[in-house]
Amino acid sequence: MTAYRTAAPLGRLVCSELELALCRPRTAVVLGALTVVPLLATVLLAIDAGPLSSTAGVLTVSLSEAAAFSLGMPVVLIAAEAFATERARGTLDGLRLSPVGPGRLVLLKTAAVGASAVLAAGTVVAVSLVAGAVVLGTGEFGTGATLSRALLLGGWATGQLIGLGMLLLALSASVRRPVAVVAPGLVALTVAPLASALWQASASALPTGRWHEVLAGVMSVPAETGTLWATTVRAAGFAVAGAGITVFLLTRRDG
Amino acid sequence: MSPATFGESPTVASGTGHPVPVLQTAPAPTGPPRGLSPARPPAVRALGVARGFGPVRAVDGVDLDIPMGSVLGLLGPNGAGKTTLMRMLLGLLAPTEGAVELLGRRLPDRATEVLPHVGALVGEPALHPHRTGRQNLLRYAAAEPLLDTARIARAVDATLHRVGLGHAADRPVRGYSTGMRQRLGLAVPLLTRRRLVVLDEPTNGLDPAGTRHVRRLIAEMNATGATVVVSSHLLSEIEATCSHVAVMQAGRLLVAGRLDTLLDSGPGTLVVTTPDAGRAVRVLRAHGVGAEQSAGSQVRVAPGPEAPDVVAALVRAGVAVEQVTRPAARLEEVFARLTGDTGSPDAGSWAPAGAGR
Repeated sequence: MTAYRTAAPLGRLVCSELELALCRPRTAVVLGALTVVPLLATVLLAIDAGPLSSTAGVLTVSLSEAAAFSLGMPVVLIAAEAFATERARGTLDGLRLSPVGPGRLVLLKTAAVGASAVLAAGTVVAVSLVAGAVVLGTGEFGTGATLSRALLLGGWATGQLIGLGMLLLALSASVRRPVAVVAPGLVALTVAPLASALWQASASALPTGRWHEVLAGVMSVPAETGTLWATTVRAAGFAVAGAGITVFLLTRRDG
Repeated sequence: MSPATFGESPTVASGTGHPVPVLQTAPAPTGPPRGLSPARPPAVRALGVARGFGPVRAVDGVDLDIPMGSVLGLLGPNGAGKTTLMRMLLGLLAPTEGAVELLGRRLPDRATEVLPHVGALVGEPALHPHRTGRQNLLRYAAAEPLLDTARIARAVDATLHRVGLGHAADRPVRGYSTGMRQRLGLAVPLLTRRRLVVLDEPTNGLDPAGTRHVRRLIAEMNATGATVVVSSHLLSEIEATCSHVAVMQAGRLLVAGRLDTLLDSGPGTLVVTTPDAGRAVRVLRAHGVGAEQSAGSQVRVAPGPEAPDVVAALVRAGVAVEQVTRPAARLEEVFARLTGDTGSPDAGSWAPAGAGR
């Protein structure tokens, strides 16, 4: 019996997982909704014609406004479905029987969370760049600086979303109802920014805190990236903690 | 504790310690289970397996060996612990006591080694409703270690046709009937050739044609060498499909053994053929023996009295007796005897053969 393969190829599993998580009409709807934010920001900044009327300004406004809710929604939904929905439907047991071990399961779900974060942040950044460049031009930064800051912010936003997603993944691994993941996710996306404004300490503790500070820093001249790196390290910490807790939950008895 | 054995005679499960009425009991074996060579381990071995949920012991000290190549029917009223036991046998639920071996490998330590050879449908079919039947099956196929990537699409197509879903393969599962979902759930263990298949009420929601189809699939799997463990509420299905049975009640294994041996054992019902059936019934009832006229000249005598005693009582009363037979017991009869099911609503929620769910 030992001559047989005991695990399916990882690449095949990841492709299958990404197809399940992302290849559905809902993804298109959510991403479509995300494009509205930079388009609206472009129109408003074109009308306002103030100091933010540039591609970089569109990017800043889009990311800060989208961060409040819509940017994190795909990640919240994917994290909720990752374990809670699969457990409720019984499909998680099907995978465990195949067998797909806890480590691989976390890897697959991390790939789905990561892909949704890349898609969400990438959509906002790409649409901001295109719409801003076409309507407003690159302004004082010039094309090179605008692109590099856009890439930096896109990568940073992706990292923040992955940090949030991994924490939610751990929550998803411990519950049977997706709503038990979606509700805290929505709180993190909506209440957290408000709490950050009211109570400075919460900005450091919450995965979605300090967005405005980072955006303002990156878009200043010269760029101030201290907060960006600090929050990136924080997001990495959240991601590692989330992954660790998830593996622990899956390997415990009856996980 | 030693496992219930699969020798010629059904034996009481040693782990339960409860004597089984009707069936002969054997002393708890101390060596390897009878009928099994040490070189060929049982397909499934449960050693004192128990599982509690709070104060309730859903499974209570089950010892069971299931021989390679057999088709075992797991019987029991609702709440007997069948599904919990099946989940523990598959490693989906950890026993609070005892151990499980599949195909000679101890779980959970060697699960990755053995599980690729095990297929299962336990509980409701596990499916994503927004995905098509084909997409659902492709996902399971992607996780199958024994399927080559190049063969996946072909294997999925073939399996969908095998379970009769070829025509509905590209429809979302949310539009499937209960029977179609059940067929799709059954397709998962059929994706590759298995050495052990565990099916929890596989005919749930299926019409008679679907039920016959499942019976054929089980026979096919068994013919290719797979050991099949199947639970069902339909005793007629178990009787038609299985070579072995195990009966559970209140978390305990009452008996396990070959089906034919189980049916041959015990007193069974006597059938008396007499030209004066009405009088025969009255005479027997006067002797405190349960009897009823079943067909024109036939009287069915409730299990208990021996044939010579019945004949003597009738002859003494002047009733002519043409023939006395003891037809093989039906599984339903044996089951009722084992579980003490009186057929009253309080006696459990057992559905008689053919009743479905």
